[in-house]
Amino acid sequence: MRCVAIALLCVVGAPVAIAAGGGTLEVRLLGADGAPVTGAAVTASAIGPQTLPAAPVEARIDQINMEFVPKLSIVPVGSSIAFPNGDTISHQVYSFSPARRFQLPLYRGQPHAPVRFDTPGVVALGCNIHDSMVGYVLVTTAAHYGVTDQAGMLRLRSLPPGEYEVRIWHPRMRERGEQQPQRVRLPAAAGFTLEIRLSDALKPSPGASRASRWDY
Amino acid sequence: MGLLSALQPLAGRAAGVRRCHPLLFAVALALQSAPAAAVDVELVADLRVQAADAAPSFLQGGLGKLRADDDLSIATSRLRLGLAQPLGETWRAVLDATFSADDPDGFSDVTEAFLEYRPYPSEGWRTRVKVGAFYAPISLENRSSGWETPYSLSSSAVNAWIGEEVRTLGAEVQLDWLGTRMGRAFDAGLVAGVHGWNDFAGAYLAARGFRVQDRQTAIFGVVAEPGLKAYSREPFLESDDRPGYYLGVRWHYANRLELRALHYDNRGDGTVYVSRVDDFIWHTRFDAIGLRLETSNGWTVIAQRLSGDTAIAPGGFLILWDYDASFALLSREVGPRHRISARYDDFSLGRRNPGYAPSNSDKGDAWTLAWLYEPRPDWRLAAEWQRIHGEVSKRQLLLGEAPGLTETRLELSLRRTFRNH
Repeated sequence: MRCVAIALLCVVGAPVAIAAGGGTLEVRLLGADGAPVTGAAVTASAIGPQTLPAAPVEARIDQINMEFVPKLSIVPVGSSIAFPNGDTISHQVYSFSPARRFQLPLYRGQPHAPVRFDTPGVVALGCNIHDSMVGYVLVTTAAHYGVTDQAGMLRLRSLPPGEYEVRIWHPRMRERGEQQPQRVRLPAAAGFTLEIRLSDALKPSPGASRASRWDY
Repeated sequence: MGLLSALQPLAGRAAGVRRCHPLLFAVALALQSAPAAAVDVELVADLRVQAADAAPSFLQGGLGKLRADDDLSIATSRLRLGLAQPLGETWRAVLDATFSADDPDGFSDVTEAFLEYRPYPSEGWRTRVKVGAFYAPISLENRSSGWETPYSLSSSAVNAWIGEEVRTLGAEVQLDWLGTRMGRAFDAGLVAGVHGWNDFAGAYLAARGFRVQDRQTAIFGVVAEPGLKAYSREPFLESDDRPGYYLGVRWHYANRLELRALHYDNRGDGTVYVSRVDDFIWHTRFDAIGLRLETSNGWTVIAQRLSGDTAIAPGGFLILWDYDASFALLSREVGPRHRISARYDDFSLGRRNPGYAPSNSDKGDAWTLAWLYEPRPDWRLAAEWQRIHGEVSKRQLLLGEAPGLTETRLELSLRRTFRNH
């Protein structure tokens, strides 16, 4: 059986048939212009009385050439993230987001304990030395999550059948689009493809980090 | 004794003149204190070869507008040392010095030396405080280490003048609102500076007009060797105990577009004569605006304008010059390692008082084309061609030459950077 749904945040278009494997929820995210949206966070939570978040993980966000790598991380509530600093220069990572406030000096050769994220929400990361460094951590209570690839696709595999609430988040999404979860029913032994088209264009992508390794 | 005098325990020998040695002592002491992290060291050797068709340059006291002599030479090769020492988590000390083969300053070559306090942001707001000797946030092109420009070898006329005569010897507070960390696409900031040792900012500009070059006057340095009659050669002196100030705003959108505006006033008392430099104090004010746009496909556009006046008032009689300079720069990254840039400069300087001709005036423009290639992060090969035309009345007044002159220059640079980080 092949199930296809099109969830459009702006206008409803014609359904398209996309094959999907059994128990796999396939999410395809398109921008307002129809181009695939890369690097968006997608979470899927089963709707029901016994839903549990995914088990906490130990993740890492590196600092490479004055960039956070990856720029966007999704972790379940209770997870820890290490900031190993792959650069040879010092960084001072911070967040003043309500979901997790912290300050982390990353000097050469001085490793620091991982940071634990206990509250769901978006945590914006910065570097107190290099203003162009911006990163995000999405702390989620969802059991299933991932980031869209170059084709704007994410496949969440081995999902039990049932009804799910799918949310998307992208650092450059405008406010209105962020608040609209999609409900999908994943039948037993079947796949489901959800195509989401944003109603607003993404905000402009930020420029690359400055070439200079010296902070001025 | 005024505020600036009180801040100046090691007064210069000449009566009424103080220089800024204690600022450096403070940094030197800070560098010796126990660090929380090791010092970042950057040593840069820059071999330059140039061929020019130009008048004797400002470095020989001439009226030439390029850092050049009328021959083939390696005269502008230089060595730069940059040190940045973290002091705990929120303080750091920075020192920058350049030793140039063509420089009359010898070893007095510290261009910046300051302590910076930068606490972590809180609730979207961030403060930064600098104390010492450093550049006010005016230039949008001089953003590399050592206040160099990554787009060309020389700086624009606007920023060449800043490098020659305008340095903050004092304190600056910057307050930023970090919207990019709160779901917005822009950051915004205010900056305010209070400075002394600024009595002769504008003196050399009024005497000689604009140049398009890359020499930065050292904190203890002189703007040029005496040749032709110059006004004060030492821009960073304090004699009137009147601190100057600047106020500026900044708006930064998506790390792509930056807008800045700044008002500067050194509040110099133009009635005061300073025998050490045989000159009156110059009262200099200007407004500077600028933008920098960086597109996603590798283009950079920078435009700046600076306009203001500078004046002395011997016996209370105001003698005043107006100046106005601007430039537009277009630069493009070509692949990951090449950059090509073109810049057009326009500048003018003239005495406002009517009926006192002849006097010095300067009007001209310049083209600069540059190619920079970085085969590795620590190596850079660059070539720059400059053509500048100036109508300089002093050429006629002092040398008996025609005021109009076009100078050209080709410079090659091979730069090697050594870092411990």
